[in-house]
Amino acid sequence: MKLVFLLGKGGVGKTTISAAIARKYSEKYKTLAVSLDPAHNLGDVFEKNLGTKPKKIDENLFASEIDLDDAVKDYIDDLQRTLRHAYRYLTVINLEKYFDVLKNYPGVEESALLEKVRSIVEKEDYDVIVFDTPPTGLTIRILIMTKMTLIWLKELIGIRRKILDRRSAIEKIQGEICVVIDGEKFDIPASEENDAVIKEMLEYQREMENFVSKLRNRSLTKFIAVLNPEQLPYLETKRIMENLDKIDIELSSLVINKYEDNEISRKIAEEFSRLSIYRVPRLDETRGLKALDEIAGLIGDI
Amino acid sequence: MRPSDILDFLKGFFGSFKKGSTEMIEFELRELENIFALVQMGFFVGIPSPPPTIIMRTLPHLAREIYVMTKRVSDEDALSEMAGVFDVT
Repeated sequence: MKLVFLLGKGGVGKTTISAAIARKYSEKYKTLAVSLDPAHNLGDVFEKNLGTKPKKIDENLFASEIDLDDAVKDYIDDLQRTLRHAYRYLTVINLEKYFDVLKNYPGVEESALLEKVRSIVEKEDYDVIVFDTPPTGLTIRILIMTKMTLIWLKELIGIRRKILDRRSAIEKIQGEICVVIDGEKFDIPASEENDAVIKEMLEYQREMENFVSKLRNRSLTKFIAVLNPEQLPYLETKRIMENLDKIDIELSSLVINKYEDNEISRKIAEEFSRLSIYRVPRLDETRGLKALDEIAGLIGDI
Repeated sequence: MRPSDILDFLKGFFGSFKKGSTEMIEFELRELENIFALVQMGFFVGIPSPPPTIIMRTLPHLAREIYVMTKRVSDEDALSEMAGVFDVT
């Protein structure tokens, strides 16, 4: 499966370009175009009403729009379900208060979107998935979240291993350790095989490492920046590249949308000379499959 | 004195040794468990916390630890326990 992510400043035409790229891939492969942008207009470009569930646009071409608020809600609901089940016998912790805090916890939006992207990549059955991303800030934070998660997991797994090590030392001398909560007896795990916490963390670490290695594999995943030949989009694209560098992800190509031959265009060509650059001139019509075919023709095999 | 009394005495004698031998590790274990649970619940008290998905996936398995941690806060006197372990009088 191939993944394509389009990044860029708001308003440069990411959605149109991503739709055109999806259209191009759909000539040969079963392709899904996903919009992660809270201000959706992928549906407008395809001239179809889209929702979270992929909708068929044409032979081999499907599209969906992920709603950020819905993604956060699903994420919190999921958490509530698992927690209610696990903590049903505990009245010590006020769960409602806990969920309220979690809803507004920094990072929930990024995590919810990251998990959504991960689930699309893992579960959906397509040859190519093209992601139209939210504005740069959020996209970069989502990508950085993958690295942060791995750093935290490494540290937490380290602490957990120390705990299990101490427990097994005590168990060897004192015999099995257990605790009684409200008359119910619980055995305390002292080995990695029996400890659900470390098993869950190791499993999540494995899943995240898989996902990150997919993102870093240039033959599987492409990061494409879209910009206009103007000063601000140019500066933002430079920042995108620097930020991606921090997480060892490389931009593969650049699309100059609404291209005109001006000073900034030349500066872009010079600055990003090691990337493949595609130029799309200003078009009167950017909606509908016919217009997308025209843009796809200009882009070629990106 | 019956032989069973001597046996009981010896059992108690070695039992207290056994208990004492793990006292330090138990103290260290409790602190590590506290740190681990505290990191998961850190946003309540304003300390840096891991990304929410990690918390979300491990919390269901941490019920016991969080219970023990909250119980300790109300039941135990951490300072006197530390003084006891380190023989401060």
